Amino acid sequence: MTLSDDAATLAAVPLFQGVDPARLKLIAFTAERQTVQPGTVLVRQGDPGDAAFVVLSGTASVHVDTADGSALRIGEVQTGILFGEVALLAD
Amino acid sequence: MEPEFRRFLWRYSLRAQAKLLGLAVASFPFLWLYYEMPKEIVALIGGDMAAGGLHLFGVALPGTVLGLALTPERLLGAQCLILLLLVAVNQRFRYLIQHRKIMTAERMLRRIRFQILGLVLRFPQAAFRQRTAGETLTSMGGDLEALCTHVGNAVAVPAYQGGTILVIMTFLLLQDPLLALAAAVLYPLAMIIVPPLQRRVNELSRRRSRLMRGLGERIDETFHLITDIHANDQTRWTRAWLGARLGEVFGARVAIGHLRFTIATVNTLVQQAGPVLFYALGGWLVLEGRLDIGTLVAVIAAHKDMATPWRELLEWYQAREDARVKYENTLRLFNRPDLRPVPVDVAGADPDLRGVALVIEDLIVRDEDGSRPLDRLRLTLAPGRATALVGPAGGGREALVQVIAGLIEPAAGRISVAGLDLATLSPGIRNRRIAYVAAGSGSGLQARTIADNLAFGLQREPRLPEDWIETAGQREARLTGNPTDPFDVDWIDYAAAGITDATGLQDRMIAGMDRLGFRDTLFRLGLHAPLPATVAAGISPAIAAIRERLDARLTETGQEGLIAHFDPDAYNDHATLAENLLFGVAVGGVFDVERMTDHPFMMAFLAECGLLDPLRAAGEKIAAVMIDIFAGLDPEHEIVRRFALVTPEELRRLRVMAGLSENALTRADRLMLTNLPFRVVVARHRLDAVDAALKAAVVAARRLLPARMPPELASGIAPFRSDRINPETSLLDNILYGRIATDRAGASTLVPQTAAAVIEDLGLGDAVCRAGLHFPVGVGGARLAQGERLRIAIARALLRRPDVIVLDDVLDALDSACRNTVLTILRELADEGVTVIASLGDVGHALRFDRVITIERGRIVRSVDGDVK
Repeated sequence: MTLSDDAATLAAVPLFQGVDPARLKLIAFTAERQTVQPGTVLVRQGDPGDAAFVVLSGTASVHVDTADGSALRIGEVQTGILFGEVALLAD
Repeated sequence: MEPEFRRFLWRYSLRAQAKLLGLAVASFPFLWLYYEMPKEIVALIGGDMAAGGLHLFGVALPGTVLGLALTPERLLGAQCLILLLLVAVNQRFRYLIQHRKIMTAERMLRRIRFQILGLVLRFPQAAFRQRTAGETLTSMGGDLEALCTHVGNAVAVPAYQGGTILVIMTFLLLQDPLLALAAAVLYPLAMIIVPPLQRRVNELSRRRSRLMRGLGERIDETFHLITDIHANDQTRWTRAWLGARLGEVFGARVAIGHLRFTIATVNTLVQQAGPVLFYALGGWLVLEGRLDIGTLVAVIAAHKDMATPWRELLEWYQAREDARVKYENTLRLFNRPDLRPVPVDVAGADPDLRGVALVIEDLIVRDEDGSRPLDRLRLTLAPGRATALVGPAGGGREALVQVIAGLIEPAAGRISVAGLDLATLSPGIRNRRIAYVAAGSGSGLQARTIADNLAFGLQREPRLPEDWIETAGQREARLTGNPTDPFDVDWIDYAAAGITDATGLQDRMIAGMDRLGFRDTLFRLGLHAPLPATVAAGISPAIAAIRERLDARLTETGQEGLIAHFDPDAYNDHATLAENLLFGVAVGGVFDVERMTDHPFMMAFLAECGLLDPLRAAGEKIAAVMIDIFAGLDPEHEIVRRFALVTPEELRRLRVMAGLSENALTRADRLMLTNLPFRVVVARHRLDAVDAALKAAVVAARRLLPARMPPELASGIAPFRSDRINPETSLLDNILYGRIATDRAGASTLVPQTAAAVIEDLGLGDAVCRAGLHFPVGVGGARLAQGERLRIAIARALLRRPDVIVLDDVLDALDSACRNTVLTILRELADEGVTVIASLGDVGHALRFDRVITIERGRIVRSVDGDVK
């Protein structure tokens, strides 16, 4: 779990294709590495985005609130996938 | 203040001046003996005494003294001893005079400064719009110091120097009256030429200080308007404008410099032309045979000796003129004709204003420009009713509430309560009965704690212990007309707040702040701010219990890893390497955690533990990573400032060092590398620089440190102890006895939240809030938000339990939730018989008031009873 490992993970993210490896290390350095308990909500629908996440290991699931108030599971985020960046860029 | 400098000087320093004069006069005989002694010695050595027998100061000596035969050798010894004694005596006199001069000058400075500040406290409100603090400060600085130095010299210099001249003149007269006359004529010549020049200098000085004050004012304004200057891009104009002001000051200063030199030149000319005159006149007398050459030489020497005292006298004269001008300037600035009355501490009539109507009769308020914010306003404010004053800004409602609060004086008319004119009440009584809160200038906070600010309205008189003895400081204060009230005793009038002691006061403060929705903030501040000693004692026994419960609760919810507890035998990845080594926090600046090796003991200790090389190696790794990831970025770049482990200066140097060979590195460079790892938090920085071996070495060194630490350095570390409070860290840190694991999602919010819940469960919430009351709010309350400051200002007014409460624009400035709370509180107060008056701009906020009065152009234009809307 060193900076170089994190930078290598970031290099595999499509959004970061072609970014200078030194810059990737900088991004990795300014980022936080966090362990998440199962069941933790990372981003809630409608919340303003203040972070983007990359899954280093494990999976995260994506749910959408439906009209009747229940949550519908619509997909899964796998290792090496970046998410939350749309809210970040859009805000 | 005294209207003239002369009267100021004599009134306050007459005794000191008399003492100085006495000292100067008493010193002259010894001075004369001191000058006489060498002559005696020369007479003895030169054999002049051989004929007339031995004598001392003209007194013939007997052959034997105290059984010893008096030989010339013995007399010489005695003479030298006396000379030595005279040197000591003269020095003692000089010391006494100097000491008294300093004391006189400094006492005068303290007195005049306090007088000025006393006048400033009596300025009418309007004056604060015209004058800035910067200007006041300038007026109290160098000018007054020079003035007071002169007070110290006022008598001492003319007495001492004048006396010296007198002695020399007497000597000259005894030698030759004609020459003495010549010497006496020359110096007064300077006295004729110099004064007009001096007057010109004074005028320029006055102009200069006026300009400097103006400049200070402008700089003050620039500070306040800095946002506007940038937002409107007025920097170029502002620069030109400031430059022009400096140009004016420059002109005045140059002119003063030139004139001063001219004065000095006149003095020098007089002094150096003297000998020429003596050579001419004296030489002619000698040639004529009416004067012997030895006398002429003595006369020239004596005349030269006169130069110094003359110069001193002249300078004294200049300083006197200067002081007079400065005093007049100061007086003009501060002794305004419209000062408010002198505050008196004696209690006059103290009517109960609760349940009594305020009757406003034909009130007129006049502005400095003659306009009338209030124009013959008549109004009766019934007791126990809440009245809202609305209307356009500047329409008169602001002036009305300020008159009621006693902040401005009406030009005519009066406010009466039960037939008594409110203006005749002493300000003390009046402001105890009437509380005033303003959103703008009236809600300022002092740079003290929240509790101090809440108690601001309750500080009435110092509570002196029974066995109080006047301190040296108080005595000195009395001598300089300063207040003798001790400042660091309890000033709180508990009875006014309806309580008996400090604990009751804190409870009321917390209850009051709770009511205004401030409890959460108090709790948060109490949890995160450094633990005040007074509170630490109360809560420390419970800390272990809180920690245990917190851990249990986190474990219950499966979140046990959120806190990385300290362990004397393990490296904590969430603390810095420095904290890991010291196993505590560096305090009091003994050790600089960024530059550990600066301390010789630490340097030796690190060397003993074999840590220097591994640290250096780790430092090089960190340096390499920093250079790598911040490559191509300017060291001052925001990203570097925010995220880099090194400062911009360090990064700049590291880049240079990367290109140097080991031999080219300076000692400072090498130490910088060795010091870099101390700031690393392994879990956060993930640099891989602090490896398992280094961690183990640090833990080993930690165990050795207490044994090696010299006792006098031990206070530089506040150690982590599970069984003891660490007063240098926050309450939360003390509860955690560890660090929040920042690499666990949500830990930084979850841990304080859970800790808060545990504390409330244990019934310790108020104790934490009490710690929060000790939070220092910063200058002007800058560490709190605007809304929080206003809440404190309101709570402060409520704490005093006033009979009349006046809110000036407060309701508009509050957020809606707090406004509703305040309105409810005001309603309750009104029901208790308190007269509530609120001035507000938005009539929509005037809900639940009994009466809404609209004031425009200084008159009431509408008055509606009952809840509008």
